[in-house]
Amino acid sequence: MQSRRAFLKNIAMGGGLLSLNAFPFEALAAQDFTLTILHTNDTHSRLEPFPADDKKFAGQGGVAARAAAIAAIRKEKQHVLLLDAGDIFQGTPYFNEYKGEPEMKAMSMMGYDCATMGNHDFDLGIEGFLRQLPHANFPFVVANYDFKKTALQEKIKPYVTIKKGPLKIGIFGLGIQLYGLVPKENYKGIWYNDPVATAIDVVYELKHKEKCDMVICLSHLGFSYEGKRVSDKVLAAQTQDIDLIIGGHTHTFLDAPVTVRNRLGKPVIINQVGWAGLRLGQIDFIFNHKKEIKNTKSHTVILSK
Amino acid sequence: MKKASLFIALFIAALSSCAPKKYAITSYEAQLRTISDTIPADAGMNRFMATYKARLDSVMNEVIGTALVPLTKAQPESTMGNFAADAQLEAGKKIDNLVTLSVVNYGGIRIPFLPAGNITKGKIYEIMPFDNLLTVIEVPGTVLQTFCDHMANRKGWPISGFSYKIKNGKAIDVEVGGEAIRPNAIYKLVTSDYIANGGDECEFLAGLKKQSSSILLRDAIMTKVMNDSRQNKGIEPKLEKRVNYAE
Repeated sequence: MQSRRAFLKNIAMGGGLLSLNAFPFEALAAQDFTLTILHTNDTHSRLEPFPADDKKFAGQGGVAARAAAIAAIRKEKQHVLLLDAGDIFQGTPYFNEYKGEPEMKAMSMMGYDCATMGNHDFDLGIEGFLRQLPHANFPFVVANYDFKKTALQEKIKPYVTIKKGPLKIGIFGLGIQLYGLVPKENYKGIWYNDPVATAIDVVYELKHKEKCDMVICLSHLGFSYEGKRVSDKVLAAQTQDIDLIIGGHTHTFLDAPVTVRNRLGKPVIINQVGWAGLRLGQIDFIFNHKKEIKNTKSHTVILSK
Repeated sequence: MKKASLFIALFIAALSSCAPKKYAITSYEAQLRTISDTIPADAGMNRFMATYKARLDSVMNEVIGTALVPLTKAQPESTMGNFAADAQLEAGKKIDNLVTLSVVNYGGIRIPFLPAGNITKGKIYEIMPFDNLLTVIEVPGTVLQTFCDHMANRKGWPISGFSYKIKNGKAIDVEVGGEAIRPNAIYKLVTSDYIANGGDECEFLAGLKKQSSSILLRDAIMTKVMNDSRQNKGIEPKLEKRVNYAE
């Protein structure tokens, strides 16, 4: 922490804040608000840890350890959002035997706030997902699937807003094109809309109608691809006002979040934590009240003592 | 517990010219935790899992055979892939005894490694969790070439009954039973219903004449594990240059 503060201070000084030396830093620091985002993706029915003889992941993963890690963080942090980017289903015999019930129940016990749907969440069809939905005490969001002609209509929302302390946070979901990935009868009636065009509309609504302080996208598009195929990186670059993309599908192990400039040149943070519940991502966002400081370029870095 | 604590960067949020917002992100800090058994398990979650686990274990811990060598999933060709493709071919011949070719999509195999030793039913579920049904399709030679190109472009999928080489992302020297591919011949090929219906961007297969079955690919693999273990004391798939890179 000390090094971070020192670093921030250096930035502040270097950024031309010397003139603000007399500013009441202490008072402002007190208004800092920390929001902790915890996230998983592509957990793939991995309820138990990988077995001891696994070549790569022996002893890793499992909902009992994940629940313990989350509980420990909740003790430490007051404002936590726990999110998942889809592909909850499929990958271990638990899914074959129980059809997704323990996955949904375990996530509910851990206190997930929101999730999006991955392609494998359609592995037992729309009906199969619908059957497990009552076991989830948290909402699913997908904005670019039109569910109107399906039994999931009204059950899956394009977005939700969640209040955390003084903040209003908008969370929307984006799903991958199901054609070619999922057997047709499993997603019959779902109309796929372009993720970028959808995101532009939904984010506008979250930002300007819902007046959200932060916009998070739960994406199952995949981190990045060769060529022009839509991905989290493409999405980030072609939109505005998305603060954070929690990604999935490509099972990408990022050691640290990646920052991409959006179409206004502002940073968008993208993170993805591999698959199978092997890792839990955590990002602590520091928010600061802006009322006192208007129209200056230097106000955002005041954190130091 | 591996905990990589990372300090990233500042958001220089450019609020300069627009109207003031109530709150803005000023900075963030990211951490990554490896979830593992070194974290003391949550007791409540363990209790929750116990009943599910007990019932599942009784089914899945049954030993159905032995692996004499470790099986690995890799591209362009691998022991695990060859075994799965061979198992599918053997089962496919029961649907139609004129089936000579077998293709398993690489992405359908879900674990990278199976150690030598006892094989449980649960392990086969992990290798092949999907409830894919075997389907026999009638593939003209020209479409088989397209299929091979598709697989070559994706760095090689598990196959049985034929071979090819990868050159510049295309398939060359496609041979069926040791003979060059014949464009006008019709080949009977067994694969999953998923692929036969055009999955994994195999649209060129979707319109072909096909015969579906109620045999699960997973069951086909289990059957071969059981049969080989009974007859040969275990399974021992080998690399045979079914797919390799052209020199």
